[in-house]
Amino acid sequence: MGYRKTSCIRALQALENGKYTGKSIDTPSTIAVEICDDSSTAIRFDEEHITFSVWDFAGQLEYLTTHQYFLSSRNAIYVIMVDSSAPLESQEAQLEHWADFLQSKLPAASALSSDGKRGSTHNKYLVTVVGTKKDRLPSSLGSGSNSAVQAVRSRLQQVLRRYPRLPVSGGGHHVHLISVLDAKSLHELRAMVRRAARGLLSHPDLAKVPRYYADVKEQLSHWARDTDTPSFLTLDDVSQRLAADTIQCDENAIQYLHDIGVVVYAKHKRSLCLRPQLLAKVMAIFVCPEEHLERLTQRPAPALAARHAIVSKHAAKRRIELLVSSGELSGPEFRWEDGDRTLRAIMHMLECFDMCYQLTANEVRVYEEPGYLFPALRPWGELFLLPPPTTISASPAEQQQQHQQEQEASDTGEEQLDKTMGDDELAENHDHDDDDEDDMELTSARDDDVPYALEDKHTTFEAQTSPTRLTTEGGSEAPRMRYMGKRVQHRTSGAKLSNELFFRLQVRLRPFHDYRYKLYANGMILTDHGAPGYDNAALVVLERSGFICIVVRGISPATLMQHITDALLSLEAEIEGLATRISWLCPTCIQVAGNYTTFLGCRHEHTSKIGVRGRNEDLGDDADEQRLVAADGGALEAVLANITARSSLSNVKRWFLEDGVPLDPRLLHRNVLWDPKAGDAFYEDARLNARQWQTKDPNGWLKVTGMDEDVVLEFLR
Amino acid sequence: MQTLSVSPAAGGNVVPLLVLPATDSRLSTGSTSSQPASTRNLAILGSNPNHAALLRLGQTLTSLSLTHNQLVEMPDVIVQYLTALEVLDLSHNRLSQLPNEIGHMTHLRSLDVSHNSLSALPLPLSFLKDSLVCLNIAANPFHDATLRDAHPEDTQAILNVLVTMWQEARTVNQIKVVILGHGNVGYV
Repeated sequence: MGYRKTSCIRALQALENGKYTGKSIDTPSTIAVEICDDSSTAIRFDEEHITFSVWDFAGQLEYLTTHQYFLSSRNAIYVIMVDSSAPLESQEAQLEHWADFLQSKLPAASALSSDGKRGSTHNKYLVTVVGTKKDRLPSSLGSGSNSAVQAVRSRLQQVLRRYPRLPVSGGGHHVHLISVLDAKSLHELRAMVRRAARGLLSHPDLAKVPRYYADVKEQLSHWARDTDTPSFLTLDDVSQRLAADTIQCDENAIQYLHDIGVVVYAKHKRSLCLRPQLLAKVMAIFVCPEEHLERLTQRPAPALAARHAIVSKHAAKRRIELLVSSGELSGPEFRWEDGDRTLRAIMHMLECFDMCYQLTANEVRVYEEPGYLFPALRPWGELFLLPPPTTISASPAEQQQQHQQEQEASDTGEEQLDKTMGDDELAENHDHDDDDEDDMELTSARDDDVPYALEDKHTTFEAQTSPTRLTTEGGSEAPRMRYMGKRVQHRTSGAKLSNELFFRLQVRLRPFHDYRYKLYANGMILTDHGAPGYDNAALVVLERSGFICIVVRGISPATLMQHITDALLSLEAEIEGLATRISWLCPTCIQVAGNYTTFLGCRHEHTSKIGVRGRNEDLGDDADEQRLVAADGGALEAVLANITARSSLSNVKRWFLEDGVPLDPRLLHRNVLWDPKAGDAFYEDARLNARQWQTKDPNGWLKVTGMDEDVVLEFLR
Repeated sequence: MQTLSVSPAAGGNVVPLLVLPATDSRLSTGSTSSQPASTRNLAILGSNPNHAALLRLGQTLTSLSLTHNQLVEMPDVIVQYLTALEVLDLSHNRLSQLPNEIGHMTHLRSLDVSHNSLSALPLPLSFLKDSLVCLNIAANPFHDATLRDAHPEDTQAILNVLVTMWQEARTVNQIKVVILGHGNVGYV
């Protein structure tokens, strides 16, 4: 023990206060987020009176879901600390982990700042990389020599080059190596942060703010110190309270205060927390690893039975009581006599930050007591089973037919398209400035293997195309097709519309790819502001002609769904005759699949029960496809409006439960193979079965998804 | 000079859709459908990886009209690429704020943001005091009384208000430093 990145911060502080001793300082590991912004602990980097609020993010994986609420896209410097005493591979992995996280959460760096073609904008936040334990570099690199330092540095720089979207300070050329035992290196680090801060603040957009921002800031800081002001307010509350002091306030001001670290703002709920540290602690009490729990509560705490990701109301109350009794929290909520009122206030706050949602009456019946679902508590690395080929993909006869169609289509340029989407060619087109019109849309992919496991899913929807209507367009579609380049232009086969739609969808949804993912011909993986495995992700699979399956999972799938819906809408506008259709799978299955892995055997039955707004549609039936084409457009709009309206996690529960069949626990038992009474034993069985199925028939996967073999294997791993 | 207007045709509710041609810098607008418009459609331009084409476009496009489009935010591509714009019409949308970067669009002569949901104007807009000749901010719910009281089409008066605000603006030298790193790696 003894080394944590926190030690570096302490050493820096000691340096400031003249208490630096040249020894490593023992610090306990960070819980969630620790914020040092009061003047006694703050690291004063300044000659110029720049205030730094230092946010120390805990390294434990459990906290990744909570960190996202504390990020800023301007006025911020992110210091990624890498343990340089570790082997180079491990250092690379550490850096990748955090760079992935930041890149997926923060807006991209100004696209053109590096080539100097655009001087008007500059980066609003910066990322720097620091290697720690300079005194203990891996011995394999030569002991403490300059060459070892160089080796570490160049390796880390190499990694950074793979993240062109991150605004790395100094263009990624400077990777600092420090040691808490070496005052000089700490001074260098401090100088570097100062320099970065000065760079950011030299931009008038970042340093100068309307006068009322400053007034609001002062007032909110005052409230945060006043223990009678609630921790959690809506934007309207704030505006009203400020209006009493004749201070104007708008969302821009609050967003700014979030960015500089005064409050934490949940934009989509227009709500804010005045006490960031308190929010971090409350979040931590539910998701923290065991070893942190006791320190947080200062007494032994019962483990959460979070196998279902459900925390019962009783358990939640216990937890909060423990936190209250630790006595470290200000804010009137924690002094209320009425424990239920405190609980409601706290849980409402967490709901606003999409951290959890309250179980509905239906869900309460299943879990047998009221409680809250914390998506962050879901098991990691869950396997996700697609239905076996017999229930979902086309019959062998149909597949053969499809195959023949493909053969025919290849004569008209179809194969060329498929080749276009192959990995090899994609990998070559790294250059964004590629002027070759044919490849214009294809320059977005990077050839980089990324382990990826779709661990669970929240909800699923499908886009269905209407193949018959496109055929009427024939060749007249050429001008529109220019968007896709020549290769698509030749394609007029209506039967393969879904291929084309799929391809276009990939292009349209490209902003939600991590650039490191391949654009697969089939089996596209999207992430929305989420690092792989941690946040929203969608798997888009072209299952068969005319049928695209999109599986969305994550803490707030609604956002990603919204993007996909928007993309489909814009495609509808672009491709005449295209009608997309989105329908929900059985909420019952999804609910359980969210916690476990079972989707087997119930999909069709339930889909038909739910349908779209009660419509009975068997999506596997061609006759139904025809019927859908004939269906009135009003229904589609209703569905889309419906999806649009459901734009946050707290509404997810409605997708699950309120929208379809009433949830009957017996139904769960029979169809979803889940028995809450069986507990972990059942869970283990399910995993075992899943593995057996894989080993028996990996080809089944390939058939179902049509994905590249290596992707499938990645999923199955 | 190049002009682009993306707005609903008479009587129709049309999706603004910028289609970027691969070969030359002429712009066409695709628009059909009666689906509600959204920023995403415009974002197509922004998500396009072909910076070269966007750069070419940015050098030539001088007039852009996105009026009546239900935009809730100004598309990033405008401030990022379309820096040669002289006329920008964003009226009749649902914008709640303008980006600060608009103050760096030094070629801008005419800006129409009337009939939006703006509660404030970005102070850097005052940088355009000498170049902007036509500014319309009518029908916006401004918080600031002086902006509300100013004649919505009196460009110089509005800009003077902004200049004053800029002079009064506070400098908040605050930076958030976020330390990230694996917590579970240590001296053993």
